[in-house]
Amino acid sequence: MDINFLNIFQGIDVMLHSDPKLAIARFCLILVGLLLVYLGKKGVLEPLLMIPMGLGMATINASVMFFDPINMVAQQTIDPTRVGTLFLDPAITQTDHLMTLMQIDWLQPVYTLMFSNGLVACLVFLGIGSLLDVGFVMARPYTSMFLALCAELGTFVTLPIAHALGLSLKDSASIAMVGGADGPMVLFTSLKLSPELFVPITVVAYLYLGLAYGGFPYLIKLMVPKHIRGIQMAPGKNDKEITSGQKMVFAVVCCTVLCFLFPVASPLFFSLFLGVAIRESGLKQFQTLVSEIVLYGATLSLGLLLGVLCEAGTILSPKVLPLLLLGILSLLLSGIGGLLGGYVLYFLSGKKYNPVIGIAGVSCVPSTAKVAQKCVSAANPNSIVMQYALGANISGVITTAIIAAIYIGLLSK
Amino acid sequence: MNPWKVILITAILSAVVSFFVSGIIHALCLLIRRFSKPAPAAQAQTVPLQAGQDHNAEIAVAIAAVKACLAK
Repeated sequence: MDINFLNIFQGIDVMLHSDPKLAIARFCLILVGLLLVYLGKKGVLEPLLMIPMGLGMATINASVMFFDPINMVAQQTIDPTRVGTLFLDPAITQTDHLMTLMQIDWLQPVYTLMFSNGLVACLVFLGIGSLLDVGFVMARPYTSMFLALCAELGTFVTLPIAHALGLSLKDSASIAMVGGADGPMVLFTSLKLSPELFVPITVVAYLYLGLAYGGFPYLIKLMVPKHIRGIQMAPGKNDKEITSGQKMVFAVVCCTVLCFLFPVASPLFFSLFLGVAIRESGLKQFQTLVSEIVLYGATLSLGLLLGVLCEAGTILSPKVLPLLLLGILSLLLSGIGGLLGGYVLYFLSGKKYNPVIGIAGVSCVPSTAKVAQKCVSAANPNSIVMQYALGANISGVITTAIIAAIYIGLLSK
Repeated sequence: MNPWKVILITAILSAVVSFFVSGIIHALCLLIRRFSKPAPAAQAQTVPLQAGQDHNAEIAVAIAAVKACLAK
């Protein structure tokens, strides 16, 4: 009996017999995956997301084999050159093929029933909602919303730039949403507007959101002199205690109004405000379930699936390089916009408002609020801006959802 | 559709809706304060003050928030 060792070690067989460009890309993505795991472990990037994502990315690119499950199950002629994995196939569209794959690929049911319909984004939002204290927004709604709007500069400006670089309006809007700095929102928008590009766009978004925590302090130091960074904020006139009843009423009314205005984004609004309502209702059992099990379970699924979707054959596209550049540009512009908004309030308040709070308008909850407090504390340990920063931060989530809803409503038809 | 038109419409609509939401929040706060009894002291989210410190309640809430966030 002739033994063909390449039939046994199929990963090597695929590497040797596939297009050299694809083989090199697979090898590079394995290295990138391992790098993400390392950076996650070191704490440079968000470990909760990067460790499953990096390992998924490395594994999926190593696990490619010659595999034609659809024809195999249908007992038709098998295509010997067709490659695949036992994880999932995001390109399947026909229902009968999908049903076949759901019985073969172990992550296909999770992808189909949880990821491609946006459920995972809603579950993450539900968990985030249960961690948000909307009292910080309610204490100062106008300034918080103003900062959040300024910190959407990248979300606005990146769209025409992306379009000028050759992307369609839908793809441009999806990549511009990275400036909103809200991972689930980018996922939701790109699923609705750019289903063929949602994997690279979401991966780019999560990579850069991980970098925001490390990169924004440099932007703050560049734009805000030390003596201004250390400004101590005086308690405002409206800084009264907000009761849980008030927060509950706010969550219920805002959810209903925003869902009425933007039905296209109602799953996101509902998930966010349901989380807030659970937190404020005092239902400890639900709060524990949502803020721990649901949030962390959804984050694990999200990281794992994003990694597994990074198979070279799926994500290699000439559009990926512009996406990498546009993603970082969008986030950078949003950071600049937030700080400029902070400066507007600084001058309007007679130089009493700390402009660093503006960075928290970038809605990466609570990372950018922590960045703002960290930079302010470094300049003046007695200055506490966290309550203002969290208000802008939570408003950022709301404004990003509003902008996502407008983009989807304007461009999806 | 022209991309500049898209961002113009989006910017105007998002600003209008965001400040509309702010207005709702403001109105709700005013209404609830107008018609509700003062919150009992036990509900205040303060952290215990240390001797010699003169924090107001809001700063204490902020410190608690800072600690909670930095602990994550």
